[in-house]
Amino acid sequence: MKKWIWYTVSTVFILGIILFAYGFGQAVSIGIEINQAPETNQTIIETPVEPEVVDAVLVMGDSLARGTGDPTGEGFAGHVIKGLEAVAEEPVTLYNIAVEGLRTQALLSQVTDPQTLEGIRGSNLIMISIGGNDIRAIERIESDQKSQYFRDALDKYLVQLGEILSTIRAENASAQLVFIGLYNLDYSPSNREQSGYLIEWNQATQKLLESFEGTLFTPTYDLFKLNLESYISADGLHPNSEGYAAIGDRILKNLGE
Amino acid sequence: MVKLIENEIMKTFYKKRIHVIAGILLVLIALFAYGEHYTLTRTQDRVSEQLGIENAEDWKNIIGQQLLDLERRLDNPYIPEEGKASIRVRAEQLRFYLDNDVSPIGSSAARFMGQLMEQSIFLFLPLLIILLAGDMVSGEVNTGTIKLILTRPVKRWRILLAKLLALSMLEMFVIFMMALFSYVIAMLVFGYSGFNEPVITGFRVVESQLDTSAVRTIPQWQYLMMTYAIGYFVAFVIGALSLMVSVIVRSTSASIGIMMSTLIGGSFLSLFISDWKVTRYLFTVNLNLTSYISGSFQIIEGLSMTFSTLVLLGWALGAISIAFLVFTQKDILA
Amino acid sequence: METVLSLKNVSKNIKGRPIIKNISFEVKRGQIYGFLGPNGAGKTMTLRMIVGLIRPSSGSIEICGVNTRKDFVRAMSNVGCIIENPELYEYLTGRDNLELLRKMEPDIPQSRIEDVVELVGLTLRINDKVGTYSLGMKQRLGIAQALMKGPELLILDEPTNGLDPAGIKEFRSLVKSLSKDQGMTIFVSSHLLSEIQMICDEVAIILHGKIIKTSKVIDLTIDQKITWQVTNVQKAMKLLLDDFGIEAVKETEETLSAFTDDFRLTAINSAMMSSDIGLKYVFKKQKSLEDLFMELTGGETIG
Repeated sequence: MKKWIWYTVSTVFILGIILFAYGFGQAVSIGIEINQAPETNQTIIETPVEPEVVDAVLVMGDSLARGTGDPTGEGFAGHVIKGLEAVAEEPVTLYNIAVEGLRTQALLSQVTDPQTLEGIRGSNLIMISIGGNDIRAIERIESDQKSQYFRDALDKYLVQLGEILSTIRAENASAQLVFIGLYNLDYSPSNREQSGYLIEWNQATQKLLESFEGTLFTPTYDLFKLNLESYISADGLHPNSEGYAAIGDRILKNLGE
Repeated sequence: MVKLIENEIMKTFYKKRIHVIAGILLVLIALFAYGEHYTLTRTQDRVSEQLGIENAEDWKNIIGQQLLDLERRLDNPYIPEEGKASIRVRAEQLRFYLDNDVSPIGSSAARFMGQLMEQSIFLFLPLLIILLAGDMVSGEVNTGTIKLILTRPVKRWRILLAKLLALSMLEMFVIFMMALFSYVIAMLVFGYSGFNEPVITGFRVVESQLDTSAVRTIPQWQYLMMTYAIGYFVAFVIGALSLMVSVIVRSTSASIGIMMSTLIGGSFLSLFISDWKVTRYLFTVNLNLTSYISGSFQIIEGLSMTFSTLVLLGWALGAISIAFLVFTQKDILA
Repeated sequence: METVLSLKNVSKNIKGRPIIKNISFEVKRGQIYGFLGPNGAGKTMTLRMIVGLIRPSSGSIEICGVNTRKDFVRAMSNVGCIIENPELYEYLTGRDNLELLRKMEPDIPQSRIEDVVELVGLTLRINDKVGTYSLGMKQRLGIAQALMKGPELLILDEPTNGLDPAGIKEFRSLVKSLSKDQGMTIFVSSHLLSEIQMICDEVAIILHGKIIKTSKVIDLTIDQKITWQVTNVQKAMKLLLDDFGIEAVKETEETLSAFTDDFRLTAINSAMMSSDIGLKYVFKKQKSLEDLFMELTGGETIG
């Protein structure tokens, strides 16, 4: 028994020392590497070499803009790009800064980022999809005060959206602005209250957009009403590629392409 | 000398010290694993709810989309090169998950082992080592057996050296137990070893901002080797310090108590590091070596892997010198 | 070598206070040498200095001619010792303890362990953990570890501590045989003066950190203690003092005692009988070390 202990411990030790030498050496070398990498005082905003493009498209907003639910990852943005490229016969750049689950407040913060402003400046088409997550939050509220909540949320949203549009216009006075309207997930009469909110939301948004130059509100409410089965993806929330194609096509048509 | 080392190791085993440490490790690792598992299932449920995932397979779609997204971003001319490094690295990780059919939300034995060491290295592991080493000398003085060994025709420094070397071997054994137990328990709980999974390393904090320009991936097994090697280094340093205290202080409980309070109290002083320059030379503050490669934040300027390593090495060598000096001159009065 | 252990002007100061003051003595080969003194006189401190547990502040200690400071290893390779209580590793068996110690020194064959175990009579319990041993057994094991290497010099500090009378007797014969049959030199410190008297050839007596006497045991106890029972103690004491120059001690109202040898006793007795002291009884007792001790130390126990 005694010799056993000694042999085990000494074997473990010898093996361990070898592994230790290797592992520790590695760790230290990474440590040194990290220290030697050049230090930058600020994140440098690279001004890109002007690419030879006809169009530069910027897409911002929530998961709809991201293209969630589309296995190819295209979403409506990709579809629109394809359409534009077919007509222009030249590559079109797509800059997609959309974030899943984004709400209007967050988009407002994002839009003031130096990177985003650079992107806004360099684009001639800017597409926005936002508000779905804001209004979905209301849906979940179970209260008699629900309509009051809706009012407050809508007011806040309009103020924020207004600021977003102002910021964009301040950076880029000429780019075409396209806003994607909200669709419904339950068009049945039993869901009348929520449907009502959705419609009012869309109308208010359209009205706000009209107070700015060069804007286009693209509704989706009617597109999905009779096509829920075929246009919604497996997650029951986002469009699938057919649904996104439908949205993309409508945008293209609206743009006159 | 070899015989002397053998003696010391025998003594520690028969004292059942190693058994106690093994027991503590087992219990703690099991609890840690259970905790991981528990939060994991909660997280999985929550994520599924949020993203509207019906079944587990859908993570592939989501990952697929995220990957496409990242690849698109890489093509974007507006993002600076430095930013691209982190995107590239994240894309690599996602590609791995897809190619190997591994869900990124789950955990693996390798990940668990790494996390265990990262979390234990600055407090739990040192405490275990203190338990091991704290009474190496003071215990023998207390029980009187020191008289037995010091009246043999053997120079005193050899006896202390044997204790030090035995300690180093036992520390390796403890690290080994830690690795072994965590691997076995994690495999039981998570069932997936994940040693080839890529891990991102190379984060830096420059002027309180996360700089990802030097970031790259390394396979999990390599990361683990580094982490555990660092663990052994820390164990060795703490062992040396405990040995010194054990030589100087007569009572075993005082010896262990002093080390423990220094360890815990010292970590408080890390709050002052940015301003009070002296504190960065304390050993307690530099124990968290794994944070340099794992990318957890370092709040302080001027601390680096090399710096901390050297500081700790200095403490260890200083402690060993003092221990030898005192031990060879000491009068055993009791 | 004739001299196995020699201390020359050894002193020890602790925190500036002198504890051991300039002691010197020599132990010759084959002797059984006793070291006596009251508690706190410095016996243990001296022993610890001899075996290297404590460094002397000054002076030199030589074992078999080798200075313990200059070549500790060579000096101590001739020594087996027990200092105060024989503390051993309680969580190991007796055998493991001996093995462990055996491994620390070169050239001790495995068979020695069996030999010493038998010698001290622990064969039945040697494989049990020392934690289960009685004090007597631990003492035996202590002696066993001291004897393992067959040393030239055996140093024992209070060796009969914890032994029952049978054990003490065994110990006595063991020591005598080690000295006689193996020619071992033995240095014993004890406060059991009767024991020392029985086994030692020579003693050194220490008091307040100083050696106050070294001498052969016989020489010290050659005197006998005589007790007279008389009617007039005062007169008897005066007679002893005036006529014989002997200071007597009044024991009781009727008895007094003094040290003297046989030759003078006859003269004293007849002198007492001639004067009207009223001599009734005369007792004789061999002077013991205890008596000597009391005499020298004046009955002090702590320095």
